[in-house]
Amino acid sequence: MIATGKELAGDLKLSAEVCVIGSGAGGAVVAKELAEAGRDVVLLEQGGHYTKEDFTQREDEMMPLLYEDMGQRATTDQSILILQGRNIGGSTVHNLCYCFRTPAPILEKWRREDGLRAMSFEDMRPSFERVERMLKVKPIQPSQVNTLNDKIRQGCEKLGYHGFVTNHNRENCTLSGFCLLGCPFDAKQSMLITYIPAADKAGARIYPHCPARRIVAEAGRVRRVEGDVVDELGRLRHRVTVDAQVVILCAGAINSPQILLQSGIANSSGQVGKNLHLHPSVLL
Amino acid sequence: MGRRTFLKFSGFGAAMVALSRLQLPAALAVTAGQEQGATLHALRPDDARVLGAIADRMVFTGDPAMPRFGDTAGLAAIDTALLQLPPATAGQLHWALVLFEYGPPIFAARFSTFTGLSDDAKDDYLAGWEQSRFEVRRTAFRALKNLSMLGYYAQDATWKGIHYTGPWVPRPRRVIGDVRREA
Repeated sequence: MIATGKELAGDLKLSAEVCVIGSGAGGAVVAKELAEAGRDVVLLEQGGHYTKEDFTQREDEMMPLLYEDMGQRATTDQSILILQGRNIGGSTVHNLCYCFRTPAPILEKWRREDGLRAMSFEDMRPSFERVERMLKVKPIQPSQVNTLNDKIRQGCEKLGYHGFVTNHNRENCTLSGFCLLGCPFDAKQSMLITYIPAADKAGARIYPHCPARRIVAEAGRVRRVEGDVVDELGRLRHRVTVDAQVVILCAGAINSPQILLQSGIANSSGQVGKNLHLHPSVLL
Repeated sequence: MGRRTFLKFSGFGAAMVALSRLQLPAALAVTAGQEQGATLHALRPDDARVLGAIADRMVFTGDPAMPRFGDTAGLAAIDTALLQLPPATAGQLHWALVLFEYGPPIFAARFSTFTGLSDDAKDDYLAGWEQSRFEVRRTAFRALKNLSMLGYYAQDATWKGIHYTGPWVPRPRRVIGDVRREA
């Protein structure tokens, strides 16, 4: 069930085994897998549920709808824009569909420095393959490389730089070039048309327009999630409370620590909200 | 426009607020909001006037094929976008515009409001913000420039001049929330 206006018309008091916060690449996958495993799942998403009929390919309409801070979220010095999604499907709805596995050196660094010992590249391979099947990940074909990018490739090769054409998760792409504003053709295999419908089918209860504000823990255990029900303009309409045995926080590298800090939990190291790493892209 | 970082005014901001109360004359004031005849929801009239003047210079190229900002519905597009920002963030725009409008005596040694400057002086003043050694001014400039571009190039009338053919899926404009019904 994906809640609509009717289900969001008053204060919500929900209970579930698992409450997932965020519906992007993390939350949607978790919700689908747990729901298919028979768990009772409630998913809270701060943004709205927009589908291909909503995508007008107009920046002034889509940027506020699909992006945090209208797409203007940036580092303090404004040098790096952070294009973070805020809708059902999260950033996968507006990203450019490039798909690559977490590089082995990164996984090795996490193992060596952070103790994530069950996440070697080989450990992760079956999971990578499973997700790639779901998202229909495949190499970008030469015919899909546009003139601009081909010129850049040629220039790089003349300069002695080496690169490769990456994989993507588009199916029957029209090459319209409006990926950043949501795909009105459903060619982009985002969470919106893959994992979210699967989670929905498996019984997950999905609530758009419900930003989580605080995770409440008592006696060392998570008890509930408190949040708001807002309208399309972000105006507060009602409150939502989800009593849950397990909370899985998937609100992204910026909003997840923000919620933890607001909740006053899980910060014994004092490192929550620090050490953010980005992988910025440069548009040429 | 980072939620926490758009503007950090502190005492500097307080000084600007005080300046704003001087009600400096706004000669040659741009009335873009009124000219467009649009009903604005998020922008106050004075803010719209200043933002219209800023955007007019931000987008001006001299190309006769391109409309002036004030002849488009750019302000209305910005206004609708602002409605979808957290109120605290949108509220910061007001103070940025106050600072911008009443800043020339401080930042450019000119006893005038921004809207009272000549076009050349406005451009110099804008460049001063863009290249300022103070992060807060550069940040405000970026935010205002981004809003100007968003509002201007959202207008179909600007597309022909830049050889943009428009969306592939012609659809009616979205009604955002219930704003228009509330107006």
